Amino acid sequence: MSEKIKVLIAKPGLDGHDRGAKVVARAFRDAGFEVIYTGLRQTPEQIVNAAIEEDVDAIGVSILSGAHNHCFSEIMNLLKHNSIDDIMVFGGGIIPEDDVAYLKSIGVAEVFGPGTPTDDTVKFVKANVRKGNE
Amino acid sequence: MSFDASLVGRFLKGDKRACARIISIIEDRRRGYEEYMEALQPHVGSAYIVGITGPPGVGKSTLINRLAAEYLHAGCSTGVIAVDPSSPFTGGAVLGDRIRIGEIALDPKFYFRSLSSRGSLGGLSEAAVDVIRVMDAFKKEIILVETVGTGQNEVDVMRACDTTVVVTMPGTGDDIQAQKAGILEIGNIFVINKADRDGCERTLRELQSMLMMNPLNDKYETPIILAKSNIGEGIAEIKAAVDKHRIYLETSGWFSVNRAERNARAFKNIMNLKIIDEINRRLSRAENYEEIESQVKNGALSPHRASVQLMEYIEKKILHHSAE
Amino acid sequence: MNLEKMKESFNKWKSDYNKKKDASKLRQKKFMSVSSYEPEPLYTPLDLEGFDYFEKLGIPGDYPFTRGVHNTLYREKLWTMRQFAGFGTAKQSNERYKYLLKNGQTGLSVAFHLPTLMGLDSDNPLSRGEIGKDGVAIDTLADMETLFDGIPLDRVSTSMTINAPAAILLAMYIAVAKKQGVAPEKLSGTIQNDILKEYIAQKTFIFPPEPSIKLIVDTIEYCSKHLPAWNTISISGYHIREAGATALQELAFTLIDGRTYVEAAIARGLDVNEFAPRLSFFFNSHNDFFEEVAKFRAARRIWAKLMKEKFGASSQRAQLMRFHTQTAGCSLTANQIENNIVRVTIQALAAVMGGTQSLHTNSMDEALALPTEKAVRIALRTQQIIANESGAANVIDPLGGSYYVEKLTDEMEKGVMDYFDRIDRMGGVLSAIDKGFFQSEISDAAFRYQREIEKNERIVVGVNSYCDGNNEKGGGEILKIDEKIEREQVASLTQLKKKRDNDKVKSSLERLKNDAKSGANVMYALIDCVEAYASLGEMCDVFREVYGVYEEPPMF
Ligand code: B12
Ligand SMILES: Nc1nc2c(ncn2[C@@H]2O[C@H](COP(=O)(O)OP(=O)(O)OP(=O)(O)O)[C@@H](O)[C@H]2O)c(=O)[nH]1
Ligand SMILES: [Mg+2]
Repeated sequence: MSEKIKVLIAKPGLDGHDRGAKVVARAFRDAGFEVIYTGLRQTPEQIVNAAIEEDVDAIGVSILSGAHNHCFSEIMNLLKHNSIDDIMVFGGGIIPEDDVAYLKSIGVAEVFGPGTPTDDTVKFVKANVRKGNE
Repeated sequence: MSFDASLVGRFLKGDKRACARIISIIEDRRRGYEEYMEALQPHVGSAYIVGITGPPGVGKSTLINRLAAEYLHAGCSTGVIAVDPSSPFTGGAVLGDRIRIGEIALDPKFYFRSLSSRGSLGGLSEAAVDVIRVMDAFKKEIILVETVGTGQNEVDVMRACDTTVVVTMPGTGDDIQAQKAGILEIGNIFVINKADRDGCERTLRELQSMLMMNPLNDKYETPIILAKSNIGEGIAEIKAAVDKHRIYLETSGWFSVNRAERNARAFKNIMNLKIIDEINRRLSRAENYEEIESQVKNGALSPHRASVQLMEYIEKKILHHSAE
Repeated sequence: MNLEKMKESFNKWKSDYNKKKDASKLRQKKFMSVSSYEPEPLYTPLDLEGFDYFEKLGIPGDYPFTRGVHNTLYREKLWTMRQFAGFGTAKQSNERYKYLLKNGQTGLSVAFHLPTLMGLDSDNPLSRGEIGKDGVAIDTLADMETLFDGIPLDRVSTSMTINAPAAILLAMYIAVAKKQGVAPEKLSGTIQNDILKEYIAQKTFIFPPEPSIKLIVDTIEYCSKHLPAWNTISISGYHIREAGATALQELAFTLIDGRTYVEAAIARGLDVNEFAPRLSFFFNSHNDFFEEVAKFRAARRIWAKLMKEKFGASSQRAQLMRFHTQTAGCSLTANQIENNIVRVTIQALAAVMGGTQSLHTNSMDEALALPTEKAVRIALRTQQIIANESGAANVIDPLGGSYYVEKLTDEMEKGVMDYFDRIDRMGGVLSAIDKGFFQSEISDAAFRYQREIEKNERIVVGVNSYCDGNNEKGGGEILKIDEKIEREQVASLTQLKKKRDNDKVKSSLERLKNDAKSGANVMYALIDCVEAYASLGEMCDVFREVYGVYEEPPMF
C-alpha cells in the first residue's frame, strides 16, 4: 500500500458556507488525496486535535464569514503550542487582500480566493506538503 | 524510513501525535512497519473491541458518539476507528464520520481515527485489524469500530471484534434481507436506530423472525434494542448489552477461543498476502513474464493456459530453487 | 396555422442546421444553460402542439396564475425594492436602513450576524470573531429597539432573514411595535422561517427537523390569529440555488418544501384558505435569462395546481404564489467587479419579466465583502432604471407566448413532477434530507459547474476568458467591520444581563421550557421572555435542552 497525501478540510467558526469547501474536498479526492472533512462549525481546538489524530499533512481552512483573522490565528497558535511544524496550513474563501498579507505573516502557506481553479490548489498541495517533497 | 525507537517511547508515554504517526506507518504498510507492530506487541491485549456495522446513514456514527461518551463518562479510555469507503477510481477518499463526534472530541481519554478502505482488495481488513492493535497498545480500554456492512472486507473487520453490533432502522426491510447472508450471523447485538420513525414495529418483527432461524443458544439470547441515537435514547441499554455479551464470552470460554482464532487468522492472512506479494515479485522477473502477459492481453493465449505455464515456472524455478 | 407546412419547413431547416453542425461549423460543440440544460436551437409552434391557453396560462390574476398574480401587475404598483442589509451594531444598521429608505427603497430586509442566526449570544465563546461581521448583532429586545429606532413599524414592511430562531425574532418585533404603540395587526413583513432549506442548503440549523417544523407551525398559527398581514414563512429556493443547485432543482426542492409545510399546518388543524395566503416564496435569479423566466412562471402554475387540486384551497388568495427574488450572488466574481453590475441587470430583468413581487439586487462587490454604501446605491439604481427607463414594467408577462419560454415552462413543470415522485418514493422530504439526497444532488451540480468553468466549457468573463493583465482582483474600497464592535456589543450585553429583572427572566424561561415540553404553542411564552429581556441565546438554550440539536449527514 502506498502513502497518500492526507488533508483535513476544516470549517471553523459559525460559517455555514460549505459549497467551496465541498468542491475543494472533491477535487482533492479526485486527485487521489485522502480528505478528512471536519463538518461545520469546528473550534480551532477541535480542528488541531483532528489534524493530530488523523496525522494529516495539511489543514485546509475554508472560511467566508469574515472571521478569518480570528480563526486562522487561533489555529496557528495551537499548532505552535503543540510544537507542530510539519502540518501545512492553507485556505480559501472570502478574505480581503490586506488580511491575506497578515495571514501569511503568521505562517499560513497560501490563501485561495473566489475563482481559483481547483487544479491550482491541488498542484500547490502536491508541491508543498511534506510527502510531496520526499 | 527506519525504525524510530523514540517514537515508540513517546507512544508508550501516551503521546497522541506518536500514536497518530505509528498508525499511519502501519496503515500505509510503510517499509519496516512490522518492527513497530513487534514493539507494541507486549502492550496489546487488554482492550475490548466492539464492532458497529450497518448500511449507510442508519446512524452508526451518531450512535458511536453517544456510546463513546457513555464509556468516557464511566472513566473508560475509549478509541474509535471509522472505516469509510473510498473513491474506487482515483483511490482518493473523503472521510466524514468525524462530523458526528461532538464534545467528546477534546476529551484526553478519547482517540478517533478515520480509515479509508482505499478501494483495494484485501489488505483493508488486515490494516484495520492492525490499527485496532495499535489503539489497544495505546491503552484504550474500549475500541469502537465503524464499518459499512457490505462486502467481505467489512465482515473480516467485524470478525476481529469481540462483540458485533448490527444497526438497522425502520423501513429498511430490504436492507435487512440483503444483509441477511453476511451480517446477520455475526451480529451479537441488534439495534433498531431511529426508533422515532414510523415502521419500527414491523422492522422489529422482521428481525425477530430472522433471528429465530439462528441456531439455538440457551446461554446467550441475541438482544434487539430500540434506540434514538440522536437524542441518546437506548445508548445505556446498548452498553449494558455489550457488557452482558462480554460476560457471556468470558464465562463460556468463547472469549479466549475467539481471540486465539483471531490471532491465527491474522497470521494466516498476513502470510497469505506476503506470499502472494513475494511470489508475484519474483514472478515478474521471469524472462518471459511480460510476453505471456501481452499474449493474454491480445488474446493469443488463454488466461488458463498462461496460468498453467506460469505455475510450472513457479514450481520449477521458485519453489524448487528455494527448497535447495 | 398550417401545421403540415410548418413541419415541412421545420424539417428543411433542421437538415440544413444539422449539415452545419456535422461539418463543425457551429461555434461550440455544446450549447447549455447555466443549469447545464441543452436547449434546442429553435422553437416553433410544433413545440406547443395542443397548447391549451386557459389550462396552461390563464388571465393574469386568475388560476393558474402563470402570467402573474395581479391583473394589473406593475401598472398599479411596482415590485417592492428591498435590499438585504445589516452589519455591525444595531445602531449602525439603523443608520443604513434610514439611508436606504431615503434613497427610495420601499421595504426593509434585515441581515443578522451569524451568532444570531445560530441562536448564540454575543458573549458566547463560539461567537468570538463573528460579531457584526455578516449582519447585525441582536442579542435582546434592547438591540431590536435600537435597530428600528425612528422607523415607524406601521408604515414600513420588514423582512427578516432568520430561520432556526425565527419565532424569537418575531416575538421581539412584536414587542418593539408594542413599545412604538403599533398594534400587531398593523404589522406587515416576513420572517424567512424556512427550516427545510437550512438542512438542504444554508446550514444554519440548530434543532432537529421535527421540532423545528413544530416551531414553524406555531408561528403560522399565532400569526393567523394576531398578525393577519404578516408573511409567516418565505419558502426559499434562493439558498438551494446558491449552494449549487440547477434552476430545476431550485424549483422542485422549494416547492416540495412548501408542500411539506402545508401538510404540517393542515395536520395541526389549520384551515388552508386561512393560512396559505400568508405563505410567501423566495427565488434566485441567475444569468440564463429565459431559463429563469420560465422557472418563475412554472413556479406559480405548479403551486396553484397543488394548492387547488391536492389541498383543496378554494380561495384564489390561497392558490396564488407571491415571491421575492434576489439576483445570484454566486454568479458574481471577484475579478473585474464592475462586470457584476451588468450581470445583476440581466438577472433583475429576468425577475421582473417573471413577475416578482419584490427584489434584491446584489452589489458589485459581492465577492469581496459586505457591500459599501456606493455599491448598494448602484444596485438599487439598477432596479430603478429597469422600473422607470426600460419599459419592462409596462406590459404584463411580455414573454408569454414565446415558443421557447412556454416550452421551457412546461419542461420545468415536468421536471418538478419527476423530482416529486423520486422524493416521495424516498419517503418524503425529511427522509430525503436524512439520506442526504438533496445535499448530494446539489453538491454534484456545484462540482460540475466548477469543473465546467475550469475546463473552459463554460465561459465566465473576467475569470476564465477576457482577463486583461494581472491586476484583476478587487478594486478599491471595501467595507470593513471594526473589531472594537465585538467588545462594545459584549459589554452592553453583560451590562443588560446585570441590570434586568433576573427573577422575571428566570420565571419566563421556566414557562418557555414547560410550554416547549408540553407541546403548547410557544409564541406566548416567547413574547414573555423577550419582554423580560431574556436573551436570544437563553431562549435557544431552552429549546436545545428540550429538542436536542442537529448534525448533518456528510455528503460529497
Ligand atoms: C453561495 C453564497 C451563500 C449561500 C451558501 C450556500 C452554501 N451551502 O455554501 C447562501 C445563500 C446560503 C449564503 C448565505 C449567507 N451568506 Co453568503 N455568499 C455566497 C456567495 C454568493 C458565493 C460563495 C460560493 O459558494 N461561491 C462558489 C464557491 C465554489 O466558491 P468559494 O466558496 O469562494 O470557494 C473557492 C475559493 O474561495 C477557494 N476556496 C474556498 N474554500 C477553500 C478551502 C481551501 C482549503 C482551499 C485551498 C480553497 C478554498 O476555492 C474555491 C474554488 O475556487 C458569497 C459571495 C461570493 N460571490 O463569493 C456570499 C457571502 C460569502 N455570503 C455572505 C453572507 C453575509 C451570508 C449570510 C451570513 C447572510 C445573512 N446574514 O443571512 C448567510 C449565512 C450563511 C451561513 N450559513 O453561514 C457574505 C460574507 C461577508 C464577508 N465575509 O464579509 C458574502 C461574501 C456576500 C456578501 N458580499 O455580502 N451565502
Ligand atoms: N430521527 C433520527 N435521526 C437519527 C438518529 N440517529 C441518527 N440520526 C440521523 O441520521 C443521519 C445519519 O447519521 P450517521 O450517524 O452519519 O449515520 P452513519 O450510519 O454513520 O452513516 P455512514 O457513515 O454514512 O454510513 C444523521 O442526520 C443523524 O442525525 C435517530 O435515532 N433518529
Ligand atoms: Mg458514519
